[in-house]
Amino acid sequence: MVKFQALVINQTRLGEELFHLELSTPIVHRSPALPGQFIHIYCRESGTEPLLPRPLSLFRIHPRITAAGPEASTPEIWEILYKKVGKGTAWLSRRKAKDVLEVLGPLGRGFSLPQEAAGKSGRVLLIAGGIGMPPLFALGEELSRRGREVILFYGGRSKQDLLFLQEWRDLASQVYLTTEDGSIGRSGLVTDLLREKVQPQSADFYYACGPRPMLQAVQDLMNRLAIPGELSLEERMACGVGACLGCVTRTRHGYKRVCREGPVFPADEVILDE
Amino acid sequence: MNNRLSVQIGEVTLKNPLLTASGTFGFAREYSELFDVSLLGGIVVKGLTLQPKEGNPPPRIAETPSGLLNAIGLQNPGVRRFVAEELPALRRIGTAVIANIAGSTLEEFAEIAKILEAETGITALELNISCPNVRQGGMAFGVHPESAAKVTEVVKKHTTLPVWVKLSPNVTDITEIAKAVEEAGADAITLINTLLGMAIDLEKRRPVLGNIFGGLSGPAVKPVALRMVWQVYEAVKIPIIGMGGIISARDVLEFIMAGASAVAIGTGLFAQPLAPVGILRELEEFLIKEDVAQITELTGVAHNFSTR
Repeated sequence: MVKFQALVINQTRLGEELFHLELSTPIVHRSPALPGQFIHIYCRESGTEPLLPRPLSLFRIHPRITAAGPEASTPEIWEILYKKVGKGTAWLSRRKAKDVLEVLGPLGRGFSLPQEAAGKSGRVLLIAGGIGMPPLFALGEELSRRGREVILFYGGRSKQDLLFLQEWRDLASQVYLTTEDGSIGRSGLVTDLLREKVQPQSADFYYACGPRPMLQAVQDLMNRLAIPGELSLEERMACGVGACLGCVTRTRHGYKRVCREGPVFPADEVILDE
Repeated sequence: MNNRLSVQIGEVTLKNPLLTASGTFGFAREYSELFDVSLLGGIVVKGLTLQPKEGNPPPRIAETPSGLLNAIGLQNPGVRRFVAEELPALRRIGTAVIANIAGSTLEEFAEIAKILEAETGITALELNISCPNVRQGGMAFGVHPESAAKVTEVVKKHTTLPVWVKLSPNVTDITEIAKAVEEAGADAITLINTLLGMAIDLEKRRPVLGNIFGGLSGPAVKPVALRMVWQVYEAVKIPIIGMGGIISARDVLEFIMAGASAVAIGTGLFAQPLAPVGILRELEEFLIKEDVAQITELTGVAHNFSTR
């Protein structure tokens, strides 16, 4: 992790409260960001309000292109999708191209990318709930680069919540959508459709990110189907580097820091029912 | 580093007055990845208990206007694992290491002090008698002059290290506690710990924190902390380490002029992780600009005005 200044390349409003931000990260000595990792953006006009940085996961990671040695490499480009929910993200939503942002990252442990095993299907399930989708897209791109077959289950309240569907269709072999109001895809919760469509042989592995009740239902279902997987968690966070112990989550091995040992955890390790 | 910034806390010399506040810096591992932590005047480690402590159920933190509520609950690996797993790396950093210790009984305080007495590389002990987030011990010791004095006395008996006592602001008159621990042999006083507070989640209609109450820190508490440093400076002769909302060199100077000999940054690190680097540079610049040979000359200077 490094504290540095990132340059806003572009920011677009996608919906009522949804924004798409592209950042250039001109740090050559930093290790590349991995799908599932997150960054802290210090969303502060001036003074001390709001005090804490906003943790945001990476939606797309465009590797830097090294032409001839590190001097000639281009910056890594990070894309972020976020929902405007408070003062910090409202400030962020007003940033424009060429603005400079104070950034710390990449932070935390991202998704693990399991090796292809003989006799396995090679298929991977990605299960996204609402604004939990972004890190799974970065992961999906990496998995498809590695030749894995990706199947997407994506749920939201309404049609406007389901983002980048064309890109997802290009990436995944099958795309299952659900909305609570039925405005697109199946009406209901993503876990209902999952229960109906997925069998023990459907996939080797799964990755999920979304609201806690969804993750709990997914964890439970997948456990019964004996499909292993990983969950990306969210928790209120302060330092982001692992020093303050503010963002812990309960696991089978005691409390673990979401910002350090997470945000991605093995699904069989986390205890969500509290 | 120029010695313009060096300060004296009793018999301890610090290369500069900027420490890290206990609980905000872990055991220095994480922030070492971000900046050269040997620049600091000292590192005050996460509060150590005799047995490992799991801490409170989440959520443990809540952001408030220019502040932060926390109810971590002293999660730590216990003093023995600290000695085995953390102290060796801390010794190598090359700055003062202050062990913050928290017993739930007098016997535990004595036991922790004894364990650390056998170790090298610890500059001083800081007694945590002011943690608002644990059921036993914690703040209970720090809100009565008698019990605060008793803890100080017991630890002094079991250590040759300087003993700093960290006071709680959640009291009627902090000077009473300060005078009591000074009399009991404290070598310095650290203040303030966090202010007891809470936040409510409107959607869930329940307190935000798993522990219901938490400790408030950050720039929001700075005026309260400064006032208490001022009062304690007038009440005792031993040095004061001031903290509460420090994020800039100007904040540090305010604490020093109010009576602190050294200061600590805590929550400010979360808002600006590289703040210590800038603060030290700006302190140096301020001293040069104001033609001050030693930062120690500024300790308590604001009191001269009030008595004029």
